[in-house]
Amino acid sequence: MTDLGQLRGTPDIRGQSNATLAMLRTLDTFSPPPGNSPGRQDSRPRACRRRLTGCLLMLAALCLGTVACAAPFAYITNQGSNDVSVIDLAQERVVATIPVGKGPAGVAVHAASQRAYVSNPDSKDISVIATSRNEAIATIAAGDGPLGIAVATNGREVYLADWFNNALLVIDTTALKTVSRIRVGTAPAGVAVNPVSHDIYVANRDDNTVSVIDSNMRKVVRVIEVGDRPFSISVGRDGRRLYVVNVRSNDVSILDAGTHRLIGKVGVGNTPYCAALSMDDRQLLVTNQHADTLSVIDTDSFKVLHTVAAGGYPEGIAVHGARAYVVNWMDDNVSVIDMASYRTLATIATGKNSRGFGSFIGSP
Amino acid sequence: MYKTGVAVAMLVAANLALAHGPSRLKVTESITLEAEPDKVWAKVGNFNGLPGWHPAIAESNASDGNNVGSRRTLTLKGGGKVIEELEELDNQKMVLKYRMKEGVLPVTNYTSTLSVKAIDGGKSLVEWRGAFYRGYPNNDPPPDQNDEAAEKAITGVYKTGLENLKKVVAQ
Repeated sequence: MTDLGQLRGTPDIRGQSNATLAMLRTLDTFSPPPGNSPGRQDSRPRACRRRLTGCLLMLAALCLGTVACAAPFAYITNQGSNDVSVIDLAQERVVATIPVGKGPAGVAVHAASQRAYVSNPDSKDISVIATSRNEAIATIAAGDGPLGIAVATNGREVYLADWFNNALLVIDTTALKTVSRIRVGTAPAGVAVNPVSHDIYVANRDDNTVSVIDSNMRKVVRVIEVGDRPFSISVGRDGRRLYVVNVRSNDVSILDAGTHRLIGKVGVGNTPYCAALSMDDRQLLVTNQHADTLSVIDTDSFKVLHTVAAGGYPEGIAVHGARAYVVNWMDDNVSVIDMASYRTLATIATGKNSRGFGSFIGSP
Repeated sequence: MYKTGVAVAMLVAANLALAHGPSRLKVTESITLEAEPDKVWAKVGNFNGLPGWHPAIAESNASDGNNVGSRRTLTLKGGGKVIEELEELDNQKMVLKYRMKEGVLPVTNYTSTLSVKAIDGGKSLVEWRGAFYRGYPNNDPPPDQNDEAAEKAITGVYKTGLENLKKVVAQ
């Protein structure tokens, strides 16, 4: 959970000033959700007062319940230029470009431990980035086809799909090595972690299934049939549901995370790829790679509310505050989309063949 | 024997359609033509019209004309066939999208977009862009099935096509 302690602990001035900017911007478009737990805020004020005064304190408190204040940076993998573009979301521009391994595709940011993990399928390894310095600090050999990647909620483990070996690798983030190899289905692609149950989900693209893995036992506890060619998985912030994007059947399978049952299916555009939930979990945004659009789905009614224009071959997507960030592979850029009007507010040039496959901003 | 051969070929085709290599590749080629967009689109926007302007295509047979889902079987002058399916055709935006189902090109999961845009002075910009994986789906591909071979093949298709389109439109 991102909190002010993290903001306080951020060593560089850049992080703090940008976090403040992000808060100010967030206030323009956000009101605190009704479920904002007062208990969570109680322990903060004393620490805050030392750093922030007056209205900033209020902003910070508001920010706690809504967005990841200390993580207003997006880490975009560029498969064609073998690097990661770091976007300052407050400034909406690239502030650093980090060389990584070959063909970087998957990415997972863990805000609390100030790390980003990038999968490099062409050099068969992962790069570990220290987000405080925006530098790759380690490279870890990882199977034969590292692709989808996710971080445990506590940051201690990274889960990585090995596309060619039909396995999920568990990588210890302190020892920086693979500590477990779990057999999953054929051509595992997207990986996601349930923030509440800590279950791990893997989309087995060529089996049309999702494997559910108990993260403590490191065992597959369930295999669920989904649509045709599932590629990516998104989990609600409340941990109740998962959304599986099926590239071939052009739809999204909606699963109950408790019962592991299919509870709905929604048709989207041509060749959907990734999805992201709004901060309140009420809308799901899906990138349609071959339609150059986004489908906006109401997660109560399971209906498509809007279909909106994106760039060329949109792939990765993440939501932060009131904006969605869409990675356009063909155009080598990121679209910034307003979640109220669904208009594109800006486009930010990245490296070549940008993908951003994963949680490239990190969970708040 | 013949039947077995067909079955094996179909199996191979099915596998190629499913599996793909690690990194998706892209190629974009464009050309400026001294002609009004409508005139250029009349050529480019016809899904069954490639033999009329692409020098490598001998024949095209489309199953359902310019309707989405129509499949064209292209016969190449150098031998071999390519089967492609129309995914989108927008006469207002002048955009045509299609997907290769099977064929002799050393690529998999290949989709392509042709578009015509108006530029100043009554000219047109034709853009042809493709997204694909290399032909060999696993690690360590043979040289004729690697990333370079895939990019070279698609670049060749687009360049020779657009250059000849310029000549055809000028006639």
